[in-house]
Amino acid sequence: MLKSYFKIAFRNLIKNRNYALINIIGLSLGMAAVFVITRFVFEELSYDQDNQFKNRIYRVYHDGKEKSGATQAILTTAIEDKFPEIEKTVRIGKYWQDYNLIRYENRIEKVEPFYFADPEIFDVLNIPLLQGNTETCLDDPDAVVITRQFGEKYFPGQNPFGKILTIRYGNSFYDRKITAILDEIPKNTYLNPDVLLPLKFLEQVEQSDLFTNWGFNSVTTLFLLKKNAEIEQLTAKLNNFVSALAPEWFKPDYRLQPLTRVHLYSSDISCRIGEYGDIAQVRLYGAIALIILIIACINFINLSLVQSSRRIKEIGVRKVVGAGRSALVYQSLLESILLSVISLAFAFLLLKLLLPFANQIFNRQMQLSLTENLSFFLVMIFIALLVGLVCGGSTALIFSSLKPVTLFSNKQIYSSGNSLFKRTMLAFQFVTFCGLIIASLVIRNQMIYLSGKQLGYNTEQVMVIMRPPGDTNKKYNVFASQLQNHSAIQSVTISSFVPPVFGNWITQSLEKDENMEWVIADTSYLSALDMKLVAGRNLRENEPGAILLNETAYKKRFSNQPFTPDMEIGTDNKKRIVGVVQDFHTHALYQKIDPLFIENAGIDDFIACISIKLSAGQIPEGIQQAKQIWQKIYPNDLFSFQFIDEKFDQIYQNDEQFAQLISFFTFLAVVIACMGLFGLISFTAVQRTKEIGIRKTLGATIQNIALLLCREYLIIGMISFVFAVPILYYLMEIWLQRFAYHINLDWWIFALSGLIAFSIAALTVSFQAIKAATANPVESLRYE
Amino acid sequence: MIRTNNLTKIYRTEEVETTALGSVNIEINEGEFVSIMGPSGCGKSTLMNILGLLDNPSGGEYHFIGTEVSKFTERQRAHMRKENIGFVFQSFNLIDELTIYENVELPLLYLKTPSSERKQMVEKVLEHMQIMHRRNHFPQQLSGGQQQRVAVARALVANPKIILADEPTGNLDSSHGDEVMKMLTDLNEAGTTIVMVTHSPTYAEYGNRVIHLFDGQVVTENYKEKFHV
Repeated sequence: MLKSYFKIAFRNLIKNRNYALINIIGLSLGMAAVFVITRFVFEELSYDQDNQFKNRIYRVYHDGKEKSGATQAILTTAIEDKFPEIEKTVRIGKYWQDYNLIRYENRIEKVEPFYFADPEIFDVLNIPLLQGNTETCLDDPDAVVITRQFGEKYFPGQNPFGKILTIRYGNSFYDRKITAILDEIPKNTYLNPDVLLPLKFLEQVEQSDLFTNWGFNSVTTLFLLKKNAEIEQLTAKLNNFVSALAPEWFKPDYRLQPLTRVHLYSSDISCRIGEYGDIAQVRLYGAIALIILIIACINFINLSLVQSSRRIKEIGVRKVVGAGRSALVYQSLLESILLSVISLAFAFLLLKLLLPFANQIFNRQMQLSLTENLSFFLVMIFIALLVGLVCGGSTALIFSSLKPVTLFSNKQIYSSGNSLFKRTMLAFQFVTFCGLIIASLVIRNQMIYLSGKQLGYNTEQVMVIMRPPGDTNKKYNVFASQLQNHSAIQSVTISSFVPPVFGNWITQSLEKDENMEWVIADTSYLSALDMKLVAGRNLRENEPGAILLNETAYKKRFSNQPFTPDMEIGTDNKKRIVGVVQDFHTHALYQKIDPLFIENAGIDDFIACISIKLSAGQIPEGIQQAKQIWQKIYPNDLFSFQFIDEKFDQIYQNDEQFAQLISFFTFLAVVIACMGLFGLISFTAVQRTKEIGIRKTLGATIQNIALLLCREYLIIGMISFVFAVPILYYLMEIWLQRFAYHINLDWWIFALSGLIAFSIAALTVSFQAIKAATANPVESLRYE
Repeated sequence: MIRTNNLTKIYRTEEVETTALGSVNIEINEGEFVSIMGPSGCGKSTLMNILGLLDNPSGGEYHFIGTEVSKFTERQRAHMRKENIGFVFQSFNLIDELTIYENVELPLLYLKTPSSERKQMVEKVLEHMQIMHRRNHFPQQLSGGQQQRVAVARALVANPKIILADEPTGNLDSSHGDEVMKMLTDLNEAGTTIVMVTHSPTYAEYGNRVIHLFDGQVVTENYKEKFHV
């Protein structure tokens, strides 16, 4: 029997190859998209799942007004041996991340951030060693541990074990002995260090009270708990214990987060180390995958119905010669599963092709390996079988339930219930179709708005270099004056902060405990960044107490009071306002502009940024000149820079990625939905062949017939659009709330989306409708 | 073998009620060859559908091989059908995607006949119908007469108690029509009960009884003395 089903399924595939092809293409595309997203979702959900202690490891974080993952280095020493529930603790730190340099063969190179850690890191995070001893390799302050790949890069052809690696910390270089080589750490691990240094090294070189002061939030702390430890109880005990021990001003607000939740559930926790994802993003993409899968299934069902309606005679004959309902259902299921399995194979090939692009968009390094991703492969097969079962099942139930007499009578095989089923499916497709078009238009417009919005300063041609640690103003002044001698360089400025996020953003309260953003800058700050003064004048050299306010700060403090040169602000520490600078966006457009003041103060104390404005058209020359001067003045530091507009691109990367994905999925959904629509209109044309013939013999024109066939779809399309608009308005409003500055959801966006959706649908249906309408009426009536 | 009491079939739509069969009483015994005649729309095919258990009557009784089947569900009808009835249609109704052999084999597959037995039975009937040499062809590759022979072979392969033929010669020229009628007569003589709907008075004469239908009613029943030898 099964053989007969297979035989007929294959022969039907070949006979109706055009439909089969449309079906397979639609389903393969849909499945491939779903698989790409599923692969990403699997990747995100797989973080730290391989750790043998995954259910016993917790990250300590502060659950205060603002959540923070940075804890005090003193914490673990203070609680040592005091909590029987805690088996092991480990502290991990990451410092000077813009200055992670190594020196080898007289060259200086920037490397991935160094992590500083306690030796327990190997046991807790399950990090395997190729060479060395986990107990001792981080014991010595002079030790360094590197990965195999790092060793291959910097010690090619040699065993790096025992060799010396010179690393930079602060403004000094240190020779460290390689005491262990790490084996390859899976990418889906919370922490993936290239270079590990002992925390003891920090204790040795740090002059500050980093390890003794409860005010320093400087390390990430992980606990490995004993089995069956009560988390809530332990948290309460920990807070009480620290509260009794620490100075009065320190109010402990620790909470414990399971390691398995660190990767995805930490978007509201600041000061994080390692790689992070976002569960909201995973859910959103999961929902998109589900919608695409449903669209592909509806498409499949529609096309299967078209094909089955052409096979009514066969179904009738089978019933007459003794096929029961179940036999017909099995046959239909087998055929649709066969199609979905073929589509699965194509989808898998597409997935392989698309994976590099997906890795680029999702910023991940996802692989496809049968052994490592077995569960993903099983889910892929399950999805394919499910699609086959659902799609085959729905068509089978419709056709197998018909009486054999009906099957031979050429009557309308759709009952009103089935017709409602078809219309509902179609409406769902249309709503999604219109919805995705609206979403992509809104998102694309917002991205255009973001890139085109005037920020109040120049984002182009300004390169920012992080000032080397230990630099002095004297050295910087030499650097700046030499730069200014070159025509390719227009101006140079040094400041504590350059928008959007270069350097340290510090706040200070001048009066009434109201914090203001505080930028320390030299007098060239405004000119280098093209900021405008709206009142008063710029700062001058040696002018203690003089500040510039931004418009927001000025309005907040002085409302509509006109500016006068002798205005003052501040209670204890009075400042003289010499000018008001036009508002500029200190952050990306997710945040409103906050009150801010600029002061020309001792920049020596701060991590600072050097901003160099290059002349238009002379950017390569400008970079080259800056590099040459840098190497002369800062020979031990790497010349590494970033343009402000590049930084913006980085900040908006997630949203740009979302925009790209939505555009891609919209395109995909439109292609799949159009295929389904094409199938349905073909089906209608087949069903109404006789009617078309009669109408034509009675004088109906091609337009009359085409309209007759399209009318139903166009009406359903319009109703669906009306449904899609409020849903999308609501969803897009939510999405736009991410941005403090965003476009308005104007009526024209919806109108344009409707027009696009309507045009695509009309083009799809009219092609087949006109084809049916232009057919010779004799053909359609001949068999009557 | 077949007995109907006041068999009716009424088609109802929201506004119109059409009586396709009104109080039909017929009796067909084992071994008979009954022809049913009548003008278009008189209810011949409706009667055949009900007799063939493809459809349920609206009223009355239908006894098939001693069982009252008028209230049978589709599942029960399908079961009864595949064990006892063979069908031959005017338009052959062969499955285009299956070969001649596979078409004839189909009823045996649904009867779950073991493979070796199935092969024997199919080959025997194909030999008998003289289409063995065409066993691997597809229906479109055969002439109308040959296709109808395949359809008869398919109707016969499971050794049904009765063959219902709905205008089996309707799509054939006279020589092929004669050939099919000869086959049906031979089958009847071998003991198979045959009920045939036809428009042709000549072919109706092949039966030993002709039932005339008009407006859903049996108007005459002519018994014949003549038996083909």
